[in-house]
Amino acid sequence: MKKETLRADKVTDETLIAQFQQGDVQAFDVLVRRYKDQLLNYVYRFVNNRVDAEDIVQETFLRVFKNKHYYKEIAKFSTWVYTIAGNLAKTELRRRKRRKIFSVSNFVNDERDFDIPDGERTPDQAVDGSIKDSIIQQAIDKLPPKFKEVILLRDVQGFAYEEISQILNIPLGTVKSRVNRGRLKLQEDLKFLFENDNHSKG
Amino acid sequence: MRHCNNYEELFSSYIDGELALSAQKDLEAHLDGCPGCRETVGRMQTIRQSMTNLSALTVSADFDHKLHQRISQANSTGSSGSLFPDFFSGWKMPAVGFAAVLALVSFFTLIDLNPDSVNISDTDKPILSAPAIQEDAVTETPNQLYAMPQNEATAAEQDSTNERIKEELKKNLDIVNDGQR
Ligand SMILES: [Zn+2]
Repeated sequence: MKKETLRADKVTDETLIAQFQQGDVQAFDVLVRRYKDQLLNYVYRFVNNRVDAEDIVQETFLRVFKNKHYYKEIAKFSTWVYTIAGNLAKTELRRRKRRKIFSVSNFVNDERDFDIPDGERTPDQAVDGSIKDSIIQQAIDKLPPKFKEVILLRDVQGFAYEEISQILNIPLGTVKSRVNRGRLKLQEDLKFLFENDNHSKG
Repeated sequence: MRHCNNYEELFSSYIDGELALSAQKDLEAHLDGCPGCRETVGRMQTIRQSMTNLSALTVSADFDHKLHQRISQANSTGSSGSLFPDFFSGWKMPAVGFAAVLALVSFFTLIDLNPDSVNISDTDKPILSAPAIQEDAVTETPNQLYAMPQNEATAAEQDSTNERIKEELKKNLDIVNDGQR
């Protein structure tokens, strides 16, 4: 009864979603396997909360499942699934912002406290090209969503500008200028990491 | 002579190596004589590198299990997608109610006779706006798990709706579990 289909890694996402549209749930499973971790990383950096991120990725796949016929082959599957995940992540941020207004004291970040201890304000962390994850994350958190999304897609997920433009449905030129402004803002926020460095090097 | 502000908008493209050669030469000439811009570009490069190196997470072990559960759950309270009788055959079903699943399969077989009535797809709307379209569709669909609002206006009421839906969900899950016994 059970058909065991082995799928080569060579099968494209677009073929898989087409198979799923015809009712093959195993094709859906392969897509989940391909995208679950990278989507988790995208969403996690977006909302900075592990539980929420995983929930959003689940919701993303649920929507892919329920709305598979929305997908048309004119776009890549990755474009589609990232659009859905990004929208859900942005919605989560708006929801939190609202909740924060209503009950400031109840807003508890379940991650570590991201205040930077004095001991970490040393120059070396910037010099060798590795700034601590928590410090980077804190700066990402401070970016307005429209900069955050392009920076995450470009610098964390490594998408080409062209696909980012499709995922966010904004012009290519806008993507480029937002990436630039986002990066400028990040270096402004993290300037303090480099300041001692300049002095010590003279 | 261009001003620092004019060069600033080229920094990102420069870092990505996407500037035309003439523009790149022009910018590099400026950087040579402008410590401020040079340091800014340096910081941007370092931060960009650190972004790339952020540690990667993997989903938790029960991710697939939870997802399958959630999908079954969503489908058990109505359907906005077309389902097929062999829907569950490809998946190893979790301990959560095999009997209930059998019941669901026959349920789906019934509603599947008229898939067009439950399908909200096949519009000519562009694919990239699909999630937005879906929001509209979703608000009319009772089986939405975590209806996520797309704009601030409806957001507040959506929150209470979410609570209600979660309640519903829990009840439905209980029913599925009961059916198993
Ligand atoms: Zn300058």
